[in-house]
Amino acid sequence: MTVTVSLRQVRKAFGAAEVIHGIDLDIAPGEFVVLVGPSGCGKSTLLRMIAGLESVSSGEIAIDGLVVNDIDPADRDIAMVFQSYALYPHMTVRENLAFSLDARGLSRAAKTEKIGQVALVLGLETLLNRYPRQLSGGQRQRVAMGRAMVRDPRVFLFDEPLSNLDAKLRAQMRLELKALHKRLRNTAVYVTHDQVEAMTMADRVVLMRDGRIEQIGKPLELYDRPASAFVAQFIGLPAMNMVHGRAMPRNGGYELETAEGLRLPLPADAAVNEGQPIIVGLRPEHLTIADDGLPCNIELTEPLGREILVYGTMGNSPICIAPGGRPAIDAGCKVGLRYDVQIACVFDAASERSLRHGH
Amino acid sequence: MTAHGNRSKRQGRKLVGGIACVAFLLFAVLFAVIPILWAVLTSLKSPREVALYPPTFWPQHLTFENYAGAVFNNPTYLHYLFNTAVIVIAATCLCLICASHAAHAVARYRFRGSSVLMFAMFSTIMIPGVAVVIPLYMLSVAVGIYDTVAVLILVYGAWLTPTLVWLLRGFVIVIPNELEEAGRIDGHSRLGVFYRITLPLMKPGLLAGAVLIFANIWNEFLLGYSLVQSETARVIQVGIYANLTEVGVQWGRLTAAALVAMLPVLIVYAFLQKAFVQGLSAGAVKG
Amino acid sequence: MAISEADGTQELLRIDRPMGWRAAAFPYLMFAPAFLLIAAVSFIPIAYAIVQSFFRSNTLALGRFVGLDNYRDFLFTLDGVATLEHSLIFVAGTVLIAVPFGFALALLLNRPLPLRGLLRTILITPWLVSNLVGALLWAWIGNPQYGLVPYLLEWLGLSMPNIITDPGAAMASVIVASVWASTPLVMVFVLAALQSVPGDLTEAARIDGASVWRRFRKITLPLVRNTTMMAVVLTSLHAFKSVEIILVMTSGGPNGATETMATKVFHEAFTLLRIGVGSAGAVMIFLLNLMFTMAFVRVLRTEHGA
Repeated sequence: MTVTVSLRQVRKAFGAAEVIHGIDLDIAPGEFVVLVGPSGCGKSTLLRMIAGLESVSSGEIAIDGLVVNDIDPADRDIAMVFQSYALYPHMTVRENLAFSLDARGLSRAAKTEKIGQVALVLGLETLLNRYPRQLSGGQRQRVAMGRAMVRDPRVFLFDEPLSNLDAKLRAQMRLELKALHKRLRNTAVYVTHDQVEAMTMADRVVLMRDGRIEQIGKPLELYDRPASAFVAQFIGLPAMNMVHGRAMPRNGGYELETAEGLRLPLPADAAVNEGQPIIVGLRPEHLTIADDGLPCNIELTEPLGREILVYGTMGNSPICIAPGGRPAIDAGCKVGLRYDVQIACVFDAASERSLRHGH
Repeated sequence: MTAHGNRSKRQGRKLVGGIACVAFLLFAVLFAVIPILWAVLTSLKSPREVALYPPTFWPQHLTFENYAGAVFNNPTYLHYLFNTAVIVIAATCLCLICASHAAHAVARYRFRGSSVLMFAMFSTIMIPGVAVVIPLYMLSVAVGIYDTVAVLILVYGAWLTPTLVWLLRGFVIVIPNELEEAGRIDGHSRLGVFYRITLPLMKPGLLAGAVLIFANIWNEFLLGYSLVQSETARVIQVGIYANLTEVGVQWGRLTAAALVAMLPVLIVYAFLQKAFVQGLSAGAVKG
Repeated sequence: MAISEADGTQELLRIDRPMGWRAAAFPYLMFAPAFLLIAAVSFIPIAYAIVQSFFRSNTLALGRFVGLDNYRDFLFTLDGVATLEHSLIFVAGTVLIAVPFGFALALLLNRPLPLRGLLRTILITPWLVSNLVGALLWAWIGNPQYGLVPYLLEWLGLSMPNIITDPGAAMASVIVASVWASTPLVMVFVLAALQSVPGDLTEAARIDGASVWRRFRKITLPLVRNTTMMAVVLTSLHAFKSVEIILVMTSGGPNGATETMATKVFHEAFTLLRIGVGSAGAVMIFLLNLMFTMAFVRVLRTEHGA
């Protein structure tokens, strides 16, 4: 059974300090929503409010249409995977998995069957009689998942479950989790500070900052059409290049003029005024190296294997270019940069909001 | 002064220091042990031999008659032991139950008035037993439990609870909050989570506490003396004291009785030593 | 209060407004059994004792109100001040000997000695013995007629001071017994604190060239100060309310030379059945305890701040 999760004007204050300011969010049944943002943005707090571990200061949280603000976590029929897994150290894996079933008073046969199913899916059959301290990080993570799965909850909640794993294991678990979700199709809310996890796993991404939602959308929407400079720089690695300057009219349109006099053409749908301080955002892969174009001094190259990242300065702005392939460029070179105007981003320097209509 | 000379000077100093340490330790050990050893030797002598002066060290005639007379063939004494055992076990359970619940409340929740209640609770440790024996006597008479095993169970259970709340609180705090949260999300009530998750993980603290309670209650004299009069509900320490004052002093028997009374605490401590030291250091150092 | 974010730090006390009255009541309900028990056994009796100290009767009933007469009588008519003196001597003697002694033992046991575990167990034994039995053991070993100590002293050429008649000797003998019983506690506490001192601190100091004494003074001592002070307080409180040792060994004699406040209260209440006076003495003991502990807490706090 998959259900909706709705947040209406949800606010949270600790004492006098308000940390979550009026969040509205609608999660469709079976959707995998990722709450992502820097430390302190409130994503964990929001998750905990959905779980019932924190109270809601004002606003409503509804699961399956029913407002759950005053309902105990135990009665919300949700499951949560914690960052530290929270496996009960004094119980075996089997007992950990059975724990939540105990609360529901299932028959012994039903419990064994459910545990068996979950163990099979997650590859835990051989570990059922071990204790958490005898398991590796990845195995513990799976047990934490299993504990959530075994109850077949209405909503899955994840609080940075992969943060404690090393990079390689993390990448592997990302795939497994995504595959699992494809199978189970439960509604899921996933919190992380890692934008790679957000991009790869989410049906929709909710980027949060300082207790507010910066942008909601499909991963690629946030990537291609960021609503603000913050979104643009948070999503995507290496980060988008930001060039500051003023909007100057030219040839019927506008272009950005930097302090050093460099001129960057702007897309037609950019709503700018003459003299307005703006920022142009260009992703590293959108820049091509040519003989002519914007002058750039190369300072550093990072050979990653499948590509080479090139770092330099254009005027006074630091630039990162991902030209694709392995061009023969060295530090000290001077190159020209070109870009496709249509995919450039334009932001107002003061408000940081995107100035393109299409965004 | 050659380097060699310096070294041997240092070594000499170390040797003297070492000998001093050994001597000191030897003294401490003898100081600790001799009263007990002497009592053991006395208890194995016949009454006639006990009264010899100058005293003999090793019994000329090793005899167990004191143990037979004072302890094993003495139904009163055995009854006292039984009483004390029952009281200690019941009071330990009562104390651990109350203290563990309170420790959890205090460690996890900052509820209104908690600091005041805590302070009030801990300040009772400073109340000398002497101060409360009379009121307790009167209270117990009024309630009707004077001179019964029940009054001692209640009083002993309550007496050590503040110390145990302080001790167990330290143990609750180190259990990650997330474990309890996970338990609640998994569908158990707060109380259910406490019994299934927190309490099992508190085991070392509970064991250390049990040793502390056991030793304190088994060895307690004043309250046992004041709140129970008849032999039916009397505890062992009071029994020995009564023997001392009533029957007159037969040191052979007295030492036998006293030594047997010592054994249970020694045994319990020997078994739970490790848990106890751990628990004490966790509590003592955290303050 | 900062938002607890998933950055690895764990907030152990969450101030969330609970859902429903059940959640709000939960901590109170958990705390209640312990509190009720303590209220019944400690709060109410001490309150009653305070009330009783202002009354006087021949029976167990409250009797007539006498104001501060009981206190006056205890202190002046019945020589209570002298007992306070004796209490202070007894406590001071116990603490001044037991604490350094226990501290030194803890220092020694902190090193990797052979048979360390056995030694520790042996040295802890006096603490496992009840006060009463301990008093008995010392009464026996010091017994003028049959005891080991008089014999040994004679054998060494010294004469045994007469505990029955010599007040100084009597006090000394009870203090010895008290030290015997109190040292293990100090030792255990200090040892626990010493073992929690991180080894790298002293090692770093050693590399920096500090001598043993300097290392001890500057690094070890400050870190164990708190625990040591706590041991001092506990030992003092224990000695102050100790009844069994004196009761069994000297019964307060000779001529009240070893009668402490605690034993006097005991006598007044149980032997002489002057309950009002006994209560007054008991209340005074309680107040002295309170003042002493609060002074100690204040000293501890200022040291912490400084």
